[in-house]
Amino acid sequence: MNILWQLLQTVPSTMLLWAAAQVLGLVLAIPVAAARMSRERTLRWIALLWIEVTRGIPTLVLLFIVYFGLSINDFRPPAMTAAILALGLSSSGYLAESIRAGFEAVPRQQTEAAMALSLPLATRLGRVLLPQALPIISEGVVSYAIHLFKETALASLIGVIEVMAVANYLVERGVNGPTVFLFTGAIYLVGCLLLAWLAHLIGDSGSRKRGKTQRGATIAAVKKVEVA
Amino acid sequence: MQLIIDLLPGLGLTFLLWAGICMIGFPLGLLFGYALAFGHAILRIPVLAIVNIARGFPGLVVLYFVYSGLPDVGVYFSNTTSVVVAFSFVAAGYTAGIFRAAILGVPKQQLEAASVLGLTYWKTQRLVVIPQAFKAVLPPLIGFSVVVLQATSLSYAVGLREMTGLAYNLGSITFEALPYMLTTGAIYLVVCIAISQIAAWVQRRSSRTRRRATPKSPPAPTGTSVLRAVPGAGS
Repeated sequence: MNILWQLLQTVPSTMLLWAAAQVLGLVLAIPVAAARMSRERTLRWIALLWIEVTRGIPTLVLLFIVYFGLSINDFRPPAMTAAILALGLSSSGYLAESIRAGFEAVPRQQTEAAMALSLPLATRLGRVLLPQALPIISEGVVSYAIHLFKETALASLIGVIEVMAVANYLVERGVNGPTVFLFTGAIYLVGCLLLAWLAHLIGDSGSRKRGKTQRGATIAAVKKVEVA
Repeated sequence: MQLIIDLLPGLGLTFLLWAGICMIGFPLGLLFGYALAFGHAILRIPVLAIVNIARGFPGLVVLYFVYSGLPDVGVYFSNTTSVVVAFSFVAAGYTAGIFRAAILGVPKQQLEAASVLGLTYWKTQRLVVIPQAFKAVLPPLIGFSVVVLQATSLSYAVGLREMTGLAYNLGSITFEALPYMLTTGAIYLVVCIAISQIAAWVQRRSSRTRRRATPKSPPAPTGTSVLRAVPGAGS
């Protein structure tokens, strides 16, 4: 039990790394996705290059590139900062692709209809396209978030003190290896299951709300017809 | 250029590891997929647990478990073997889902037709199910092999000198860590894009053959003549 306690103490550090990288990834992914769907050919090419590079380089190599790239002369960046940057970068490509997939799944006619109604761009994106794209986007984001939670284990290799690093430390100190690594794996597994369960809950309540408003709108429409 | 030449031996080992993992992991995934699709509960539940562990544990944890955990219970693997064993296990877990979907994706009528023709279970699988499932499974499997290729970079953690490990070593000897890592990243990028292009090509090809096969499938000329004989159906 003592082993489990020692491992659990560093879970906040893993969570911080995970959350910060996910947020950074999303912040980077939004402009990349916008550029990928842009009408400008150069912008599209730049976005495509970004996506291919961040997805094609293994996360560990990206981690080293960021870590060594930020090391100038004797300066070494804090391992946590480098890890957040690298994991955020590697997320941005995947997340940009899921955002694009979400928007592309919305039928073209919706854009055309919004344009025919001469809705301003912000309304067209925010009130027409985004609500329809969101279920698909969030599906992609959640499955990547689960993947990213496991990827954070790589940060131990550049010296971030998180669950994986403590596990290695314990095994080097002579604690029984299989037990430690099974506990470590179980922590990640439970984390992934929790994330999936939370996403399911949020998704469910979201769709219920949507269903309700749709029904509400239909009822209102029917009433209007009856009054007329 | 010198950087690339320095890294080539590492790329060789990366490819060897990749081939080993795919050759052991994918067939194992097929077995798991069968167990998930048709297995009795006694078989299916343990396989489901194994698959969930393979997918829920980070690859690094599985690798360390095999390399520095198992020796405590008297099982010793060299670092090369550890990488192949650990990632074959992970790959089997991930591909089990792909195979399961492909096996269940074969239309039920085909199985019924096979049993009407008196084919045995194994003959049905070998001659009817697997050839069709194979076609469906090929593009996602090639796609997943890119993930496997990228995962071999974790072998650095157990001191193996595949491309990432070699780049790290050369970098710390020459104090030129960043150029070596950037070159490594570029090589991975080129290889991964090449594999994805192959996957896209296979996908295009298989969808084209499927489309071409459909008009061919009502083959018998007698069939058409019967159709023509019906008034109003022809010309």
